[in-house]
Amino acid sequence: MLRRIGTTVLQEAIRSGGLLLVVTFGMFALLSLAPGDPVSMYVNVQSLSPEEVEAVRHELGLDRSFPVRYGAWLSRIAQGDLGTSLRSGRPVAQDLWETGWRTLFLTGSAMVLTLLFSSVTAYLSATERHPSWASALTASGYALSGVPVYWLGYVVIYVATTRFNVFPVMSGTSTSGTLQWAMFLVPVFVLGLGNGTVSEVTRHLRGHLETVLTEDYIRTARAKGARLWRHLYKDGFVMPLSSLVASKTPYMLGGAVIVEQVFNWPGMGRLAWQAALDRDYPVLLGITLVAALVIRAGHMLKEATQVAVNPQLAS
Amino acid sequence: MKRTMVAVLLAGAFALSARGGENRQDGFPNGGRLVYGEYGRPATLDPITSNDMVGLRVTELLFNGLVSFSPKNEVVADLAESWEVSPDNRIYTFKLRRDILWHGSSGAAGRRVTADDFVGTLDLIQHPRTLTPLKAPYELVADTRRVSEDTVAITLKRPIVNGLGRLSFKVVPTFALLNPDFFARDDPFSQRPVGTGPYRLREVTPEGDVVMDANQSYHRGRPHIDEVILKPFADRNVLTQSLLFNSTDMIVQLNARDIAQVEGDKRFNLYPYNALSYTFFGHNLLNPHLRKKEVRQAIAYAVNRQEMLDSFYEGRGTVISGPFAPGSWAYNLDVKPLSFDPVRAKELLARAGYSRSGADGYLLTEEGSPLEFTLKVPIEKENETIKRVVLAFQNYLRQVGVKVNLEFREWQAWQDDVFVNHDFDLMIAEWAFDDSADISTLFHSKETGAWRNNFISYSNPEVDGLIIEAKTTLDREKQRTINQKLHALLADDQPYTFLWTVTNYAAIHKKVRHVDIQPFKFFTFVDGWYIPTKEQAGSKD
Repeated sequence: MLRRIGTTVLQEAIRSGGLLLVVTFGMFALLSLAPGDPVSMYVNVQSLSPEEVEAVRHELGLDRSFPVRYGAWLSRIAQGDLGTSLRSGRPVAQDLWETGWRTLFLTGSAMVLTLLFSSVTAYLSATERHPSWASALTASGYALSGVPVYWLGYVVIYVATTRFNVFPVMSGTSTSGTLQWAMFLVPVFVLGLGNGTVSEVTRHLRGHLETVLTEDYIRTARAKGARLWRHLYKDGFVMPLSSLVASKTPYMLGGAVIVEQVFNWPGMGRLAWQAALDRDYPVLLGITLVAALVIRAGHMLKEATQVAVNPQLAS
Repeated sequence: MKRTMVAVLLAGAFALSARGGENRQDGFPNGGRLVYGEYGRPATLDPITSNDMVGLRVTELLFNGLVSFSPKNEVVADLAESWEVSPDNRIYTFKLRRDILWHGSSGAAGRRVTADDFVGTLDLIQHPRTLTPLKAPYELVADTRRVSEDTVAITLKRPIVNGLGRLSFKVVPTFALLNPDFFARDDPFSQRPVGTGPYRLREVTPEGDVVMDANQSYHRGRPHIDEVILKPFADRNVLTQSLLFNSTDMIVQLNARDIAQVEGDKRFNLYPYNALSYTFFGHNLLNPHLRKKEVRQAIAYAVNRQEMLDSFYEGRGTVISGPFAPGSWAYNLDVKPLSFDPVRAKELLARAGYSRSGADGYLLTEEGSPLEFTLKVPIEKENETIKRVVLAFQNYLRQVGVKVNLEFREWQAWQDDVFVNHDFDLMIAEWAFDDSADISTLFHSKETGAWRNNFISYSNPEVDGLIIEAKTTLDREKQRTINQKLHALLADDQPYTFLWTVTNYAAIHKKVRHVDIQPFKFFTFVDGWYIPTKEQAGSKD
């Protein structure tokens, strides 16, 4: 048994390593192909001679060819060094650490909210107990999914400031107003419900639930008068939810880039956006690495959960 | 024989103000906090590598130079007490104030600023491994020498007009750097700088807020306001909201479309200031149609610039006629902007050989294809007003039978297209100038290579001659006459469709009093701003 787990872990590690290589190489290639380079962040290129500009590129290491730069980056990564940001000169690892947990918090909470909303909606409509509630929730789920997340963000800020007299934007130093501490809930709400996956997740869950509800063991449970939930949650919720978490994580990270912009949330999404504008490749590669790791971790969590629920899957 | 003239300028109003470390004598109260919002985080906080407006403004709070500028942009003393200029206008000898201390923290704590610091800073700027936008402007310095502890002599390679104003670089404590010879961004100093300015850095919060305290021993007297905080925002709309919602007290440059709303709000004062800048459409003269002067003039006649300015900027600006900003000494007021005259535009186009129209109403070229141009627009800082301007432009030109295809490009891609590959017909951009009003790199025919400013490939021997003449004279009045000639020539030739210069507005909460703004170095007079004691509480909770 232990041996089998060992081989599984090893296989996963090799697979993840390969994936990270491919993803970072792709990112590096994209950045090299994209027009513009970070030189103009450092000097006023127009006022320098071509030789002087070349000297600047040399100092920044930008004059080396693409495979050489990628190789250098890889060898530094192997030593645990993510490099420094071209924009701020700060260590990339520090930037990732300071912004990463905020984004994890935002996307994690938003994910919980999405799943909560979808689960309730799916459960209500699959069991057909409160049809009016079910259809109201389903309809609002569709409406929310159709709304672009940045627009929802603006609307929420507008309503909050004009109707409720609160300013739901992250502010570090000054906390005016009594409810300011709770303001972090607003972007969570916007990302959780506005990321465009709510209706899809609901539909998936409902479909799954409806199938499970027709299974023999559920009918037996109903017949003997047992509480339905105890028999339902493993197959009806845990299984589909774990695969949904894995498949929707990339959407959440993508949505976070926009929500962080609008709500001034000092997270990794904002860092990524700025780095993309600046062609700040050490930062972008660091973020790519972290994002790929998170997505991979979500996938592995799904596998583990499913095996735990249904050990037959392991063989 | 050349008359020997030694100019000795005694320091003006600033040196007369309070001595370092003392309270000011103006009777205004100390205390309070000013939170200002900016669009974007500063990349670095030191004056050597800073290359974005947000970062440069912070360095005005944290650092000083030998000289500074008055509200009217005259050179005045700052860290230098007085100066002498050699007869050949090449050697500037500065006598330094003896009461300047480095901000009290780290190794620099309380050390006096001496001639060595100025020599060190200029050496740092000129070091080949230091990557700084200051490199080109300070190439004119041939040598920096310490004469005594309080005297520094700077020798220029050649005499230039307003040499003094060009020596306003901010001094840094080179002994506090990782490497005293050159400066790289990964030096911790770039995020934790030590300066001499009215404010000193307390911390940069993980959210990116830059928190600064009043420098108690500031040489112009302790600044009145205790604390200044820069709060970065990632979205312009939210930035204005933060002001309206008391999350910030000030915005340095208000979004054009938000001006009316803030103006109507009794809590704020608007402070207009004019930067020496203007917006224009550049015509790529490599395009055979745009090479015809009549076509370029027709474009200018076809466009109602005043109407665009009125509807997109609420008339807060001036339509211009030529290559200088209207606030500049070089601007020629006798040259009037071309009027809005679509009939004239059509005549000019007909004269240039475009009189047949196709089925879709657009004029046809000799080859029978429609007369069309691609306008490349940078998507920079989500500037929505520019979008409206280019859409209106497209419409105006449709009226006279010219087709304009809009192409929105990401900022870096746009720079590649315009500056490197010259792959555009029309482009829109804004120039910002310093007081020297130097347009030589924009229109001289030698400046047409990759990354050069004459990306429109303009070439006119007469203009070339005048540019060289203006550059080599040391007489301001003569320079003015030459520049006015240049202005008239370029206004007629229309290498650009000159649009307008827009007035900037700073929005500041009314509790902040005695606000003076230097149009180019925003925070120059921040030490004199104050908040009445009664109104300080509101900003403290």
